[in-house]
Amino acid sequence: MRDSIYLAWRYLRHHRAKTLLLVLSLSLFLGLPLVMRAMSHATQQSLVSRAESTPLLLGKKGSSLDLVVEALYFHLKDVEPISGADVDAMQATGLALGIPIRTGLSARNFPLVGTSLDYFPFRGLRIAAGRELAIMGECVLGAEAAETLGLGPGDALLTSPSTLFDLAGVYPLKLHVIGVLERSYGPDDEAVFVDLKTAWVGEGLGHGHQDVARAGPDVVLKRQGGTVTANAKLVQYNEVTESNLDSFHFHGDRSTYPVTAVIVVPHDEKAGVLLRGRFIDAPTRQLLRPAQVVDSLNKQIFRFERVLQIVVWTVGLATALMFVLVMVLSWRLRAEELRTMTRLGCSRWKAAQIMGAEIAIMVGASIALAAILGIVMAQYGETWIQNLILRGS
Amino acid sequence: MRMRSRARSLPIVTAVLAMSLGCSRKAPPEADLDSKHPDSSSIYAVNYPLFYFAERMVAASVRVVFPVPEGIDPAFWKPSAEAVREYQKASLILLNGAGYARWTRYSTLPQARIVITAKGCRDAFLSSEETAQHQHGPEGEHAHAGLAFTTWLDFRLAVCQAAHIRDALVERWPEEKANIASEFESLERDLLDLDQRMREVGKAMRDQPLLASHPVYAYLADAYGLSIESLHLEPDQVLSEDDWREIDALRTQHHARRMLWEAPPLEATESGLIARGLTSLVFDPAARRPSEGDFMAAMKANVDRLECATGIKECR
Amino acid sequence: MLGYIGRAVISLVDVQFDYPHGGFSLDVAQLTVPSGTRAAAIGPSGSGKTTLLNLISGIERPGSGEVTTTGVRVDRLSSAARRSFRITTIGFVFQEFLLLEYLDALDNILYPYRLHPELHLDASVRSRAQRLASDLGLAKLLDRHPSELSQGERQRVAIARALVTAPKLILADEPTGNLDPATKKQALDLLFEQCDARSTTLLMVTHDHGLLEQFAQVVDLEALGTAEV
Repeated sequence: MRDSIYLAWRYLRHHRAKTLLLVLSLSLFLGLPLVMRAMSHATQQSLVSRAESTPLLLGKKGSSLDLVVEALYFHLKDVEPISGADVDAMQATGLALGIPIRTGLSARNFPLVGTSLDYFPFRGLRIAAGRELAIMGECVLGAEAAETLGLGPGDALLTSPSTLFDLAGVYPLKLHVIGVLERSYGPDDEAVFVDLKTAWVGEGLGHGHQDVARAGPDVVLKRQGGTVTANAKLVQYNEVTESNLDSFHFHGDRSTYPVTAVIVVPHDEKAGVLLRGRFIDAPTRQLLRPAQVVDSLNKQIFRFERVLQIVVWTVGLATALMFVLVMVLSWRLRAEELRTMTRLGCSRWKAAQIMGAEIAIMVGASIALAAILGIVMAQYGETWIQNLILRGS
Repeated sequence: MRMRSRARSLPIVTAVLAMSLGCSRKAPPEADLDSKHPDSSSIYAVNYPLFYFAERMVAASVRVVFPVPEGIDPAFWKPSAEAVREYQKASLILLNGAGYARWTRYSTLPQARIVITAKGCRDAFLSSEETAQHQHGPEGEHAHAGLAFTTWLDFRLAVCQAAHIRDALVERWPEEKANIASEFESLERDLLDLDQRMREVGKAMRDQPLLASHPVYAYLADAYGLSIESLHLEPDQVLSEDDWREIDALRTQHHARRMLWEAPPLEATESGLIARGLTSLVFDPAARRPSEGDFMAAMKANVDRLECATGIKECR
Repeated sequence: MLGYIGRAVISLVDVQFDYPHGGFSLDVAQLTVPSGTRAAAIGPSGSGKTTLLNLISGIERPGSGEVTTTGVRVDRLSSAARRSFRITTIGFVFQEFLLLEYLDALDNILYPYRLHPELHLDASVRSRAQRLASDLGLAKLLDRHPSELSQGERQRVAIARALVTAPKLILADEPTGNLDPATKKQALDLLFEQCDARSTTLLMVTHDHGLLEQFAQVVDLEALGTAEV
C-alpha cells in the first residue's frame, strides 16, 4: 500500500498543474455547499440577533429596511433624519429609554456613529483599553477599526471631509481616541463612536472659535450696538482641546438638530405596546420592530440560498463527472505505462491500487482544502457576505 | 554515493472538517438593558442647592455628592475627564437646567439617569444680562451664554426643582417613597415660607431699585418684583477707578440706595459705597456650599437681611 | 547455434501459440538456451520475436507445448504465479526504454520493487541500486528525470532497472534499436559486462545482423519454426 501511495504521490506531484486544477475543482464541489450553508446560517444569525436585540426603532417615515440597515448596521442609505426633539419626546413618555443614533460621517472609511452613553451597556459593549466617552471631541473605536487603523488611546483621528471640492464645506474634525472596545463580532467593531454632540460638531452644526466679543480689530467686520460681526479671519477650531472647550457651542434650538434614528428600549412589554400604538398613524414617523424587518430580508436570503444550492449542486455534479472523465482519459493515455507494469509483473489489482491512491490523495486534499476554505470563510466571510447583503439591500 | 533527500517528502495536510464551520463564530455580547440603574447608590449634583434638596429627601444609605472644589463657581467649573466619569457612574445626575454648568454642554452623560430639575418649571427661562450678540459665517446673528441660571432664587421654582428630584428619587428607590414624600413636604414648607417672606420684601422694595455685584439675581428680581441693575464686581477685590466710575454712572440713572453682594465686600468697598449713599446687603445665592450652615440657613439669613433693610422685621 | 552443452535456462518444446483474434501464430519445435549464455534471437519484423519473449517470460501462455524458464514450467503456472515468477526471476530491457517520466532515475531503477509484494524494498536493495548505478556511470544522475537524460543514459537506467532484482535471465527486446551507433556499442558493452559479471543469461531480440558476432548463440526465428502471418 505504501508503494502504491508513493507512486501515486510522485505522479501527482510531477503533474502539478493538472493535480491542482482537479483538487481545486473538487474542493469547490465539496466545500462550497457546506460553506454556503454555514455562512448563510451565520449571517442570518448575526443579522437576526442584532435586529432581535433592538426592541424598537424610531425614524422618519419611509423605507423601513433602509432605516434598519443604516441605524443598526451603519450602512449609509441616506435616510431622512428625525430630530433631537424626537429623542426628548421619547424620554418624556416615561415608557422607554431613547438612544439616539446619528450616522452620515466617516473617519478613514469607518462609519462615525454619534450616540449617547446608554448605547454601550445596551449593546453589551465593554472597554478593552482606555475609557468611555466623557468630553466632546473624544471617540471610542470598535475593535476592528482600532486594529485596522493601528490606533489606540492617546491617538488622534480625523473625520473625513464632507465634500472634497466645496470650499465652504465642513472641515474635518480632529477626534481624540480615548478608548477601544472589546470585540463584539458585529457592526460595532467597525464603528467610531462619538457623543451625539461631537457628531453634530463634525457636521458643522456646532463649532468653537475665538471669542468674537473680545476679538481684535482684524477679525471684526463691524460693531453695531451690541452686535459684533466677524470676518473670515475668525479662527474656527477643528479640534476640541482643554483650552478651547468652552468656546464650542451650538446655534439655534438643539431639538431641531438631526438624528438618524432613535433606538427605543421600552421599560416593559406594556410600555412597548403603548408606544407602538401611539405611532401607528403617525404621519411623519415610524416606530418599527427591526426583527420583523430583518425577517423579511431573511426570507429573501433563504429563497436565494435554496436556488443557489440547487445551482451549486448541479455544477458540483458536473464537476465530479468531469473529474471522473479526466481520470479515465488520463489512464487511457497512460496505457503504455500499464502495459509496462503488467510486463514487469504487476497485477491488475496493484495497478488499480495505484490509480485508487491517486484519486484518494486528490480527494483527501480536496476535503482538506474545503475544510480550510470553510474555516476561513466562517472566520472572515460572514462580514463580507453581510456587507454584500446590506449594501445591496 | 548520492543520498536521496526526504525533506521534500509528502507534506502533511491535516483537515478539520465541517464541524469547525461555525464553531469559530462567537456570540455577540449580552446587552445590559438595566443601564438605568447601575450598581452605585450615589447622586451627583451640579450645584449646592440641588445637593441640599437631594440630601434632605434621600435615605442615609444613599451618597449625595457635590464634587466641585471649594472656591470654584460650579456654573463655570471645568471638570476633568475623570470627574466626568464619576458623574457617569452615579445613579442619578441632578442638572439645574437653563444652561447651568457649561461643562454639561460638552460632556457625555447617560441620558437615562439625568434629571434636569428646572425643566418645565417655567414657560421660558430668563435671558442673561451677559448676552452679547455677534455674527459670523452664514447663519447670521446669534448669541452666546443666553440664559440666566440661578433658578432656585425663585423659591417657587426651587420647589418645582425639588419636586423633580423627589420624583426621580421615588422612581429609583420606590421602597423609600413614603420617607421621600415626607421629607419633600418639609422642604416645600421651608421654601414656600421663604417665598412668602420674599413677596413681602418685594412689596416693600417696589420703588427701591437695587444694584448688584453680579448678574445672578435675575430670578429673584423677576419672582419678587425687584428692580436690579447688575455690575461685575468681586466682593473680595478692591474696586478700580473704572469700577467706581461705572457705579457713579449707573447711580445717575438708577437712584439705587442698596447694593446686593454675593459675599461681604471689602471694608474699603463698603466705605466707598456708603460715601455714595449705597448700603451693601449680602444675598448669598449659595450656589457653592456656604462656609457656615446649609442652604436653608443661608437663604433664611439672606431674607432676614432684606427684611431688616426694608424694616419689615427687626434687625438681628 | 544449437546444441550448446550446459544447464538450460530457456527450453521450449513443441510450443504452439496463436493470438486470439488471429493474424499471427508461432510454432517452436525446440529451443534451448543454456545458463550463462549470451544469446540473440534474430528475425525480420513480424517473425515473432516479441511473442517468443512473452512466452518465455509467461506474459503469454502457449496453446500447447512446454515452456521452461529457469527450470520452471511457466506454461503450467497461474497468471498470478507467472507474474510473481516474472518479477523475481526476469529482467526486461525494452526498445523504447519505457521509463516513467514522473520518477527520477533512482525511482525508475527501483520501480519493480514497488509493483509486487514479493519484492521488498529495503536498505540492501537501495544499496544494490546505488552500486549498479555507479557501475553504469549513473551515480550523479540519479535525481534527474528521464526527460533530463540523454538516450544513452536512459538506456543505462533501463538496464539498471532490469538488473536491480538480480534476475537469472535478462530478456532484451531490441534494446539498442533507437540508439546511434556509438551509444549502441556503449549500451551493449555495458549490458554484456553486467550480465557476464553476474552470470546472468541474456536473450536479446534484434534484427541487426551486425551485432550477431557478439553473441554465443544465435536463434534464427525463421528457421526455428513456422511463423505465419
